[in-house]
Amino acid sequence: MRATSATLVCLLAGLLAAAPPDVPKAVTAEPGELVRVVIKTDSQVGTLRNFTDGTGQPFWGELIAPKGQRHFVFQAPKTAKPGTEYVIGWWAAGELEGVATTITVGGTPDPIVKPPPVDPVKPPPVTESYYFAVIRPNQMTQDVADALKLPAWKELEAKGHVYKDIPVKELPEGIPLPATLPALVMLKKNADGKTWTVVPGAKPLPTTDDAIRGLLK
Amino acid sequence: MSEPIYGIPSPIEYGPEFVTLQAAPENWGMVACHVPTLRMAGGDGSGEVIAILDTGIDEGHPEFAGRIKGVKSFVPGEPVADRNGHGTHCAGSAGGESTGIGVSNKPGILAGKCLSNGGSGSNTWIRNAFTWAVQNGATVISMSIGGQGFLEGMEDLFTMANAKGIIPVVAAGNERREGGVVRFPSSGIVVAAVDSAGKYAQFSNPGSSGVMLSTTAPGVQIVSARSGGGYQLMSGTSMATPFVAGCVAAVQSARVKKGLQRLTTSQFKELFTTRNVDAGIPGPDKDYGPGLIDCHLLALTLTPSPVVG
Repeated sequence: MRATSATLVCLLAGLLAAAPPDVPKAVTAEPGELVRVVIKTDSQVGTLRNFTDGTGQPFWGELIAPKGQRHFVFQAPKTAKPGTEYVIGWWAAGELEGVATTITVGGTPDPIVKPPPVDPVKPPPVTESYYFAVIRPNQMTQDVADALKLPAWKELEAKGHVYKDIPVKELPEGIPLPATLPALVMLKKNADGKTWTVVPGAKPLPTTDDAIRGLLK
Repeated sequence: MSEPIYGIPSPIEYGPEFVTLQAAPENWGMVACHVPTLRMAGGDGSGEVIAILDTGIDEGHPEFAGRIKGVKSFVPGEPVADRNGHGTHCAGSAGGESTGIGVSNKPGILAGKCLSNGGSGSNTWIRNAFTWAVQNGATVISMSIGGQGFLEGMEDLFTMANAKGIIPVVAAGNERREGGVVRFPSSGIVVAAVDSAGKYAQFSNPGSSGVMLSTTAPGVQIVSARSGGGYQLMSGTSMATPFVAGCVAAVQSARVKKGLQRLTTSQFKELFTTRNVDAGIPGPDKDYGPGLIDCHLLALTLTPSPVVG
């Protein structure tokens, strides 16, 4: 808007044929404050009407300096928001080139209203899926059977993991035989979604729900 | 020469009858053997057909409504209607509709009457019933039949059934006598009975070097369908046998739903050696075989083993 205003000053002032007056280019006014702008010229001066405050609101009426006067008083509206600029164009009678004074409303600018902070968007959870393979002797014993029926295994299944008991005689190729049985071997699903990679280090068979839940920590 | 007489494994213990119950009671074995876990994994027996070769069936019992695929009597002069109760009870345990009664509760049922209302039958009647079951779409054949001596001609029939992927399940017998189970070929699944404490039933025949027990299952004070309506308790390896037949049908149906291959009789027997819960002295033994059947552990076999890549 400011650049546009300046362009208008030049264009309209160009209609007059006289040396431009000497005016302050920038003035600051607090909301409601009266400021006096001194214009230095030997010629008559006039103000350029129809400037706006950058928000589309005209302010010109009461600010027009009497013809031939060497200064004028500007009162920034009390409701003006800090930072609002009022651009006033000047020219000397008989001069072609005009100049502009920009009055900027001071005060503490309203805090920039930003949208409330949003929790940083968590990246989509890594779709890690684990296979909990309980490697055990071929004969199923009561304690292993009890451990396999703990409800926490179903909780892991609900999260997309898999569990299964595997007797030694059915040990799949690629899973090392743990030193002691029963034991838990964890495998992580590969990117192909079909194969698994053994997580090094067999663990003891968890025998409580909390121990099962702790496997992913 | 007269044929040997076979029949209901004796002695059979009968318990109270529950004729007017509003809701079916529950077989304690359902919880003890974690049947609901297998059922939740898809093991309801749907798509399977269990043949009960016994004293007939009460076709009108609500436990079988709409699922009887065929009935036939091989007992001269007796219709298929079960005036004994043994066959109906067995059918209820294998495939009764109520989840507390039928181990698999959605299979089709064939009832071949090869034991009379008096509870006995001939070798010929049994062989004929077996052949009929094979020819009429059975996928599991449950035979709660006892008696003295080896059933002639059954070896070939079992071989034929196994070749077709049909699983024969037979009772170990109730004589509590070593060698008492040799009436059936060893190629079938031989079932002994345990009580609710997990101890082998006092009547249950032990295995031998000739015929090993394939599994044990609940067989004491088992509630199931009563011929004529209602429910009743019975005990015997006769009750353990349809329990296992129901498990087999349940596993097969779950495997089919998951796109897995059906198991053969030998694969089931192998499965029992690694998935049954050991009982008695550690390791397989003559009283418990590989131990007590466990449907939770059978359900875990529905998960493929990992492929390490």
